[in-house]
Amino acid sequence: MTDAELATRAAAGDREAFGELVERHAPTARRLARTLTSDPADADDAVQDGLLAAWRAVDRYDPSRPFRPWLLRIVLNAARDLLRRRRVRRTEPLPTAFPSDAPDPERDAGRALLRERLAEALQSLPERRRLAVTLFDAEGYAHGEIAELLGVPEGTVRSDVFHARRALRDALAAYREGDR
Amino acid sequence: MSDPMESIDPRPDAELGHLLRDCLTAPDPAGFIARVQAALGAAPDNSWELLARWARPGLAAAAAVALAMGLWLGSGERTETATLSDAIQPAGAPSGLFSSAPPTTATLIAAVEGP
Repeated sequence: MTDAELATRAAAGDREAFGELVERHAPTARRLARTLTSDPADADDAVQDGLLAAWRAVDRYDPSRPFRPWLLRIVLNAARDLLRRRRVRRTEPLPTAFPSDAPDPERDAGRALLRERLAEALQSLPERRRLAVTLFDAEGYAHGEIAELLGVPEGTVRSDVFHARRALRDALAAYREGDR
Repeated sequence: MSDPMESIDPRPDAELGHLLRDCLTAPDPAGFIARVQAALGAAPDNSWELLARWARPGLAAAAAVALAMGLWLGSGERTETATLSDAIQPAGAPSGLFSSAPPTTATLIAAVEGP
């Protein structure tokens, strides 16, 4: 069943249909929220707030338009609201990235450090660049879709992705140089 | 001078994308889904569901109001007729003389002879 079909059912009050949409899109929503807040718990709270807000508003969703950008826009707004409410200090260093299930401690430590460096570099970028590069490179969105989701011209998205990539690649290169 | 953005690769950077996903993906996806599903179960209805829930008592209330209005208007008409009749009837006059129903002979005799 397509997202639009599930959303139509959800709009008629079908909570299971909405639950299916949650399962499909929660991973992306969590990653995006994580680009906005350095605290994983805050990110999950924001995603939950956003998903519940989407549930309350799903009858206003237009099934002729893609569902995922509609949902993610609500999640991003919820994340921004949460950040405003909790006054998260953006300069605070990121906690260590999420724990890995890998059994090799040395490799695990290396990966954790790499994730930490990347997370720091990501958090140092302006919010729109963070979102643009995550949506483009990690989530596979097209420039036009990102432009619609973020409400900016496509050229702005291209520019944001370009500058964000350069900053992230520089940070990764510096990490690898220091690792030698 | 050439614009450096002209050389931008329009395709996603697979390595960077993988690293970003690795960095941003939160643990325990199933646990998070379960948490949201539980919150969803306890969440208020969406507006369509609310509308549907309100529709039944709303219609019942509207029907009750319509019925009450009908009764009120009906009783108002009857009251108006009686009032008109009462208005043209002198005090103490036999009601039969002013009734819309044809008076009986006995009533007419009583009215002429007086009490």
